[in-house]
Amino acid sequence: MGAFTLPQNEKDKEARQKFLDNQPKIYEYVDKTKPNYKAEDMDIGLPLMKDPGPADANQADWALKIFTLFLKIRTNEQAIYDKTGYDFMTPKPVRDIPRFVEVLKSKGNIQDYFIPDPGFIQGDASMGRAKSINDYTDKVFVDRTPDNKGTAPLPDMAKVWDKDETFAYNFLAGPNPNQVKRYTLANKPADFDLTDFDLGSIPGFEGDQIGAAIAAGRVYIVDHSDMKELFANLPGAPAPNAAPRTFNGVRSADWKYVYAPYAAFAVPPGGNHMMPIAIQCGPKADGHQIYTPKDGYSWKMARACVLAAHNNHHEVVSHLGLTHLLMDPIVMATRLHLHPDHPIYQLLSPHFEGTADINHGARTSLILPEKSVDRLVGSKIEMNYPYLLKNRFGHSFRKNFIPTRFEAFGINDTRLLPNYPYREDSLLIWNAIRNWVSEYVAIWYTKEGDIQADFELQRWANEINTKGRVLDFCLPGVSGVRDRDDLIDMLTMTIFTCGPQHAAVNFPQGSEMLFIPANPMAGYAQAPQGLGHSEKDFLAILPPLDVAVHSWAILSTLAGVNNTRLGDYRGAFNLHPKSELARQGFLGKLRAIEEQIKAANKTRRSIYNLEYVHLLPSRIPASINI
Amino acid sequence: MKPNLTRRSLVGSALLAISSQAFAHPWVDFLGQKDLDRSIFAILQQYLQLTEEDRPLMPAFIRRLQTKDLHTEDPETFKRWARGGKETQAELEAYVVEEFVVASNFFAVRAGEESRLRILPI
Repeated sequence: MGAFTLPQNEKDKEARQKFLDNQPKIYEYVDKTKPNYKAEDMDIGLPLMKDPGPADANQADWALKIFTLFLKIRTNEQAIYDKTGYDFMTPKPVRDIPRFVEVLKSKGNIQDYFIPDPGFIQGDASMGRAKSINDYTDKVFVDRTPDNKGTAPLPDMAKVWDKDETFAYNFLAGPNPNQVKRYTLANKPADFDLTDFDLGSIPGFEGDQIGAAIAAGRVYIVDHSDMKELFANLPGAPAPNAAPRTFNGVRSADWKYVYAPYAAFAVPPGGNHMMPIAIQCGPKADGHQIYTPKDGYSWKMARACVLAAHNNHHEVVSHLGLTHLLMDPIVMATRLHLHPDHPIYQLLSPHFEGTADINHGARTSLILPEKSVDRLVGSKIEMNYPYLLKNRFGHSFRKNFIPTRFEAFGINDTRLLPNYPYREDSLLIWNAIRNWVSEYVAIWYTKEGDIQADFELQRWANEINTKGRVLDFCLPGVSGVRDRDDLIDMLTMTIFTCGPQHAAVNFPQGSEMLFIPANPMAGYAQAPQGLGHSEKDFLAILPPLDVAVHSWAILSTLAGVNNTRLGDYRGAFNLHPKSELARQGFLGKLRAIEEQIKAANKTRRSIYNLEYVHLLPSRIPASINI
Repeated sequence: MKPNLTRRSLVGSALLAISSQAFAHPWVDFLGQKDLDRSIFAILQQYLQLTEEDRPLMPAFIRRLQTKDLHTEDPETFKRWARGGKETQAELEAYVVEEFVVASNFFAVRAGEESRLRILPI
């Protein structure tokens, strides 16, 4: 790697072009129509890198972290086998030198070695159902000392999960925190019309009226009604939204369920946070009624249905589709069209560390039938692929710029919707990234004409917009980058998605989702009908304990590796004082944001009994690498 | 790990070996420092291809296995396996190999990011 140079200023143009001409031999899209396609390449219909190249490997610090983590997770897994007495289908994971050495050589599957899916609990007539909520702590967080240490400490969420404030918190600071929209007369779903809703009868809203609340902009909605597309409609199934539970070719006698619910929230007049007011677990035509917080266990079941749908959506769309797989074609285009001496390559490459590698692992293992995603989410795995494609291809790059999305969703007014941690923290970081990128672009593109003359950059943007199928990556009518502002937008969104956005959807898996009653990813009974449900009915809708155990292990892994850091470019700018100075300015802003968020967390704790730590800059990785 | 040992690195290794043994913990008396070093080193040589150059790391690695909370077995179990001879050799081998890769810069050396193995600071 030499000094950074724009291609138009390159002295040895021939050598530079020769390097780029060779890149398509290394970097190919996975494509089942190509002669070299193998079934294990898993073309799922998205433009993705077939095999990670030399620039895409995770560095050694990542390997050290994941091996260390797996040793810890396995310790709790072993304790579960030893202390619960459950007869899982898969034998207890143990040390095995030949297999371990194969894993070290990347010839064996690391997850299968350390934390294999335990499979179903055998010889249990209840099919592993919890007999009380305590089973989700005592049978899952087993290697835990009385002072909550050990390899499986209980997260704070386990103490407050059952409160309505916590239910609301999940949508403002949980794993899928950007689905809330303002409910208005113009956008209200016909099937979830709240205009006659008796808001004043809801505890905390006495004297309030729904019409006034809607008009004031104090009512919000999470609408997962399009998840009907995930219904498998299987012959012989107990319901259209049921999917079989299978492991290693064995079918459990019970079923899992996905739902297509609506949830409504409101902020009381003068209140400082939103609270849930109404839930409808599916279409009215299918017999679904509206539940409110007054409905006891029926309400708790309805909440579980909403969370199951919301978290199914989280894993398939918000997490996998709109961070991991959205960035993959941008990584591809960077490798294909920007020379490593290009200043934009140097800016972006640290944000892509390990991404293609982890995506390859996800595509060829995690999301296959009977593998972890299939085992954990409510929808049948085959149904997820078209839903994922629809959401990924339909996701406008530009309409999802953080300030743009908040405005479009009507959630940007901090007086109407106060204490929305994800919104507050993500905006701070978005602006800091935009400032940093603006300064960097100004250093390397000193006049507007430099952008048009940069043929590598133009090809890069065009590739992402066309072959990469990232909707609206380029401005309408533009086939590349229009000007410096346009480039700043592209880079800000890319870096934000690689760092903060992935952090926001990934790391809550290790705090908010580990205790599974707080955030199930599937239901295991039909949505409630009528009223008068009991604790037993509620427990029946929650995941069985084999799912809880595997979920704990997988989510602990995903949230347990925090490698690379936003603002750390691994020394890339050491020889470029102007760029390094701008980077130092960025780091200074991130430090100030850290303090701001810590101060805000004191208020959040007083409201929700939980803080929001996932967008503390000290915890945001630079890249998607887990 | 490094196949080509130079005279200079051998001298360095010898010096390191002397200094490492000088602050060995008394707890290893149960087996004798040298015997334990030798048996652990033999395991790592066999499975992870450590070389003579890496032998001086053994006292620091063994001390680490004696420190609570840094590994997956308590020090007493390690002690029992180390004393157990052939009966516990398989357990000892598997434990030592797994722990060494996370107690050292094994991955960094393998990736070419660092040139020489070392035990990571606690």
